[in-house]
Amino acid sequence: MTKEDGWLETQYNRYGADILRYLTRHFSPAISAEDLLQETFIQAMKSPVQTEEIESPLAWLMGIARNVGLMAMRSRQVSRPLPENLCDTKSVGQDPRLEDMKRALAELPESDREILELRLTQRFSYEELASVLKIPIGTVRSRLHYAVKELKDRMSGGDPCR
Amino acid sequence: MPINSKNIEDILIAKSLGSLSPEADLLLVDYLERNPEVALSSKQYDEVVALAAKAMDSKEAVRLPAFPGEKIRKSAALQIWNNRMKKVSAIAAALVAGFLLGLSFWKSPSLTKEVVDVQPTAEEQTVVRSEPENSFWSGNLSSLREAGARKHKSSRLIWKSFTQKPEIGGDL
Repeated sequence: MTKEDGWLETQYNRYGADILRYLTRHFSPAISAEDLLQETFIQAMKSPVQTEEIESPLAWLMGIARNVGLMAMRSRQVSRPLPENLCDTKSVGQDPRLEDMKRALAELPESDREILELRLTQRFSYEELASVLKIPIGTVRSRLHYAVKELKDRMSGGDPCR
Repeated sequence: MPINSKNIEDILIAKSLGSLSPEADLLLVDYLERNPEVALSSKQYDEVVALAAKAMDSKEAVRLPAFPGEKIRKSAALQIWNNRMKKVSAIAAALVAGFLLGLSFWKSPSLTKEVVDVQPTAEEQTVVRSEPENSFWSGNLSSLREAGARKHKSSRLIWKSFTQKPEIGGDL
């Protein structure tokens, strides 16, 4: 099957919202997430990879989206903003532990927060994470373990806001 | 791999992330039964990961724009055109390079120079030439044959008695 046969459109309809959410969270408002999403699918179309070679279309597309976002950030010389949902820690009526967790997450290094988010929200396997982030599986494991351990220490160490 | 106090934390984290194999999970259950103090730590890790997932899970509605099919098709067509142009340019460049190379060889003096018939010197003339009537043999072989014939020229033996050595007589 070639990508021209509507394969990309199917993937867009299936995973577009997840990818857009990821792009919005990690690159908006510095760069329009819709533009990045469009560029992601243009790059996917241009890619020489055949559809038969793609085991997980979401992981493949997410890897391209991340790359497109990082390149756009680099070309515009802006830094990645903190995910929006981690900034509004003063929501009324929320579980206070949830607010503490958001603060703890916001304090994590970007690379650890991102890998944890992809694991917990997208349910990517370690192999898929390695492919999306272009890092070895051993690094995936160590980053995830570090992130969880760090969160536990912060959550059990009293005030996470120092 | 046996579970012990050194690797228990890694195993608890892997369990909380849902990446523990079923076999390791069974071993962990057994270990936690024997070590109830570790069970509390396991629960804490599970809670932390669940809370982190909840904190990061933002299923806020996003408005997915229509599939940019036209733009993608145009972009792909442009890329195909670019690739073809690159190939055509490469072929044209190779042809021009080949033509120029050929032209430079064609004009090269080494190829256009006349072949001059150089006469052999006096020393070179000592080389034995093959005889025209016996052209099958090379000149050198013919001279060797002649020299050999001179060396082993047959002679007549004259036997005066059977008890004495024969005498060498004249030519055969």
